Amino acid sequence: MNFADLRFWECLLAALLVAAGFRSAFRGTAAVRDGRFDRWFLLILGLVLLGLVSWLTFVIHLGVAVFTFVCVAWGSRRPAAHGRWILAAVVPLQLLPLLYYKYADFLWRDVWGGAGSWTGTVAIPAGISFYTFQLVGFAVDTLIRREPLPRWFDFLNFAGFFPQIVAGPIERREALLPQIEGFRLRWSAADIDAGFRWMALGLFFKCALADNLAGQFHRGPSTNAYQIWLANGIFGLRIYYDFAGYSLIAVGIARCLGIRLSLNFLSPYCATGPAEFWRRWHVTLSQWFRDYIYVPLGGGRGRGWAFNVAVVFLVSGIWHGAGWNFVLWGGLHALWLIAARLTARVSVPAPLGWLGTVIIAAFSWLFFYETSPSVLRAKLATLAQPAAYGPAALAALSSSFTAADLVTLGGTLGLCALTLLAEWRSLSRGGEPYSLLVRPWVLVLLVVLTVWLAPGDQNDFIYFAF
Amino acid sequence: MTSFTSPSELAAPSRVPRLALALLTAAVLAWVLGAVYTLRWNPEVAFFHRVHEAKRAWEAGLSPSNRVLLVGGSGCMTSMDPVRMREAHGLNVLNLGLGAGAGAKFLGRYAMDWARPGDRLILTIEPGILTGVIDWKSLGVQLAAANGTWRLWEEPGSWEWPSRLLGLRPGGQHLFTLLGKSVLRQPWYRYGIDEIRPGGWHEVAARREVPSPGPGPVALSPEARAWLADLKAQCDRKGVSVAYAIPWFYGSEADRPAMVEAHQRFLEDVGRIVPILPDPSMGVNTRREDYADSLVHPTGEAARRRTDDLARILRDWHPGSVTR
Repeated sequence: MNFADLRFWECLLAALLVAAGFRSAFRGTAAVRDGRFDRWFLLILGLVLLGLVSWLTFVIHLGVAVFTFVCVAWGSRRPAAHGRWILAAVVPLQLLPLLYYKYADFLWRDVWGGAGSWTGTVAIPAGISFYTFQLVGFAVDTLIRREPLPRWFDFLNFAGFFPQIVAGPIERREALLPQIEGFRLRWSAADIDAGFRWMALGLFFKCALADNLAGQFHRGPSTNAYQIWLANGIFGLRIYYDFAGYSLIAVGIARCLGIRLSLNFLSPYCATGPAEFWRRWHVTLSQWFRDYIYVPLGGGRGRGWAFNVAVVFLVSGIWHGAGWNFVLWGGLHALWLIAARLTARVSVPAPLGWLGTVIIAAFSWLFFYETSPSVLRAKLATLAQPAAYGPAALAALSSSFTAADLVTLGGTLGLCALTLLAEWRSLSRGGEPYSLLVRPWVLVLLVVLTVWLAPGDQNDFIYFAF
Repeated sequence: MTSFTSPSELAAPSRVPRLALALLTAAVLAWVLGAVYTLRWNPEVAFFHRVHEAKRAWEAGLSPSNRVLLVGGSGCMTSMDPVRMREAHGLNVLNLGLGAGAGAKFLGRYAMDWARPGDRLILTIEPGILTGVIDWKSLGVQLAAANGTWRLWEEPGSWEWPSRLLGLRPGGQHLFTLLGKSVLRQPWYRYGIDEIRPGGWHEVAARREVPSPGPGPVALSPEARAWLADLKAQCDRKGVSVAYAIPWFYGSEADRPAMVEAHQRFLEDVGRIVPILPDPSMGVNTRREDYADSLVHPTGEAARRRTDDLARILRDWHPGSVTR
């Protein structure tokens, strides 16, 4: 289910044509009239697309979804007072496949000190981090907030809605489930136009920006401070445009089908502080942590607020990857947020706040992409040495690029800068974060640039690895 | 809102998603312009197309028996002079070298498209392109189209042509580089058509400082192993004998032992699938002055010596005489 792969679009188009044919042929039947056909189509399409990713992805997804539904159905018939106890038993079991496939080797090797691989190097089933969290949220909302149990195939559609299953947005039941329950395959020009806006912008982010940046991202030596900063900056832009691109395409596909998904990114690099950054970066995950961990722990009130922030960000770090570097990445962001809250009374001019945010975010990406502890230590040591910023290091940086690389990097970064400027202008006019970029004539330009600039050699979406 | 499939509603103006259609039209027009540029004006594709035409012209004059086909990237294209092979050594050689950036998949298919029963196919593909994923690269897609050999795109049992068609676009690296060169008033491509010699040998005129690369990759990737085994099977079916010869890399005296060791290990890996041509140099040449602008592009003079070396190796080699 890679939106940058033409096969996905071929499958989707073929499926829609087949559905349209069936719908037309059986238009008089009750199944078509009452929408059952449409919801079955959506369910089958989602399962087939998952199966095309891999059989393991299909089986694990279906297993977690069916288990969740059975447990929640059983739990919802118990007295409300039992809800928390049932949840305490169900949630760890929901998390079990995620723990096994994503963290077993990390726990075995890096925590326990074991040798070799515990799981036998099985690939992580696609989307497991995302749909597991969505299903945990569903279980909590249904059992604790006593929301009604949906019909089973509506639930399976909610659990496996194909545009968002592999990498989000992680949707809450109250946002997505009612739309799924009322889903109809309809021809709506307004929805299709709105969907194409997001898809065009998402494809531009992914194919024209992120994929060209990917070709320019080199970890480089651990002794040159400039190269480390450059790699951090390129990675930070790449992961933003890659993941925001994916999310926008997901939002666009869903919108063409008449379903509104949440925007997962709201121009995070325009933020002027850490709290704002996290309100704009991977929004649905941040909200999930807020609603299901931070608030239940006590939130921002009382003496324990710093502890609550630390817990949320350490869990967020480990959610992103099984490695100590991800834990450190989460810890660094926790420290940043705590420090920002402690110094909230100090007034910082917005440009300075923005600069600080960008620099700290760029610094933190080092912990995200550098998975080797020894290399990470060496790079941190280099960044801390004033001598590492001498003219020799700068000369080494410039000589590490061929003229062609330099021109490509400059061109891509220039395009990123223009895009960020457009995002900033959209926000400063009080509009939506991407309102300038989704204007029709801008979109036409972006489509042309996407077609011309997208490198032919494909790069997978970074967040598929999570 | 009404039915998804109702034709009457599709025809109604208010039901037409105008923006979506405008964006699709823009995408198609941009692709058409990109494809026309790629096939007609892209200087790299145009250069390799001329090289291909020179090979075609050379093949027409070759004796159909005892043909030796040299296959590889630009290291092969710039190192082997087929005219010298014939005139000085009496060998019936076709240099099929093109850009390594076209990828092993294209280079293999390109070679099999030329191969006839009884031919000897010598793979001198750079190890670097056999250590990763073996897939279609944009340059390979574009060269197949520019040469009119669209059939090379075909994948048995698979519907790949839409993906291949999408490959007929310039890409960010190409466009930005072109833009940079235009601004700096530099030539769009560093090689000229006038550097192409009869038979498709490229005598490199450009000169650039060539650093020693150090030891390279030592093992075939699983995909490359499968690709090589498949190529060998195709050759067997077609009655073509096949062997591998390591390309001739520049390496400093200090790096030479490590490079030789790396090449030895690589050749052991390759040798499990296809025979290896014995090369005393083990693909390492320590004379920096022999290299023009990259560590596999020899100067004209060095290429003549390399041609003579390979001719001697080829004269001594007959299919089946080399142990695996």
